[in-house]
Amino acid sequence: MGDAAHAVGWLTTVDHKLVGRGYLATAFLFLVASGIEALIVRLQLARPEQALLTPEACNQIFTMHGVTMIFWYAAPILSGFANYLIPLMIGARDMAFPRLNAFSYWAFLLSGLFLYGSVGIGQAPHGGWFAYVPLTSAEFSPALNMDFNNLALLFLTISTTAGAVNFIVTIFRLRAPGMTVSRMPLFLYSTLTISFVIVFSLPALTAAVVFLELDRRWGTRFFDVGRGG
Amino acid sequence: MILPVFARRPIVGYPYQWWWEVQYLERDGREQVTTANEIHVPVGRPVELDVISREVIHSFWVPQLHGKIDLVPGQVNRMRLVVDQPGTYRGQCAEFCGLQHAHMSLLVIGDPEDQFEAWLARERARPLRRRRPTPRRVSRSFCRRPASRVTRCAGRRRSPGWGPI
Repeated sequence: MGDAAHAVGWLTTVDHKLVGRGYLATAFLFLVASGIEALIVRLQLARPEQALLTPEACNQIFTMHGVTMIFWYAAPILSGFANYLIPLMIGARDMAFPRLNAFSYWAFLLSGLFLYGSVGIGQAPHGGWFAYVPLTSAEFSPALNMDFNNLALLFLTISTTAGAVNFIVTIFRLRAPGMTVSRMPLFLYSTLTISFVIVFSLPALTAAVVFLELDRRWGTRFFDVGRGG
Repeated sequence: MILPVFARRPIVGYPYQWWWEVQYLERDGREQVTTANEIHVPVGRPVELDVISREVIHSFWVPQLHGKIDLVPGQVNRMRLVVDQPGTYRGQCAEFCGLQHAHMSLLVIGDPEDQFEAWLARERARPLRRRRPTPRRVSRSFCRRPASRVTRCAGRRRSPGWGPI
């Protein structure tokens, strides 16, 4: 069992298999949560003009469904499989950056708990998972809802980007002698591709949520078209 | 509205949370007629719709007539619409815009040419309403209908912030 024998061992582990299993388990829980949200939306939409949910509640639930499904289930479940399988497939002892790996997992889990904390105070994000700006700016969403969205996504995008960097470096540098790139399993190709995509795209999302948060709370004008945003 | 051969009269659409303001303009841009949540067009004539938002992003969508066109603050988008058959076509806001997005609908009414001109002349001649909307009067007209019904409002001049609800 190694690290998993004791609680402290599990909390401080950097072993790729344990981190990978943690990713899979946690992502699965978020899948269930997001699935329940989808079911509630479906119940509300099953018949016209039902009053199961208030408009605000409906907006929050479908937004949470979208955000959770994409960022807290789909990306982490891939990270989970990649974490578990990459070192095994290339014959390495562990990932290239084991502690960064563990950090990625804990940032993912804690950002998800932070996001769902917003449900506890009734102010879950309500601007759609795409969070287009005039609607999510301070003018049209003055309460804390979108702040939860921005801060949770900030840490999640950092977590996923770090994980992607980890995968790229591991696949390129830690392959067993004799395993050329053309000989490695196909799963590694797909993970490598996804990781490059993440490295090029997610930092832009990190920047965007930082911009939005600054606009909302610190009066900057990143998204203000009238002033050149 | 563009009459393809002569006089150009654009229709300008402004969405608000959560209704549509439609203005028919004179050639020089002066306002001629304003309606809420409904657009009358002559059948068979291409109509040009200039749309812009004054607050959040919306999307104008009348599925039987045309694809979607987004209404974005700070940018005028232009769309050409042709109604081939007279009738009433329902449209819907297609970009999430807040609490009542689901109920933000509108009607496009295609009239034969002569009926359209008669309607336009009637609207132009409609006097400014003098009765102030009391809460009871407003609630009688709006609360009796299901929330997803469009409500017809018309007037000659628009004042800022005016509109149903």
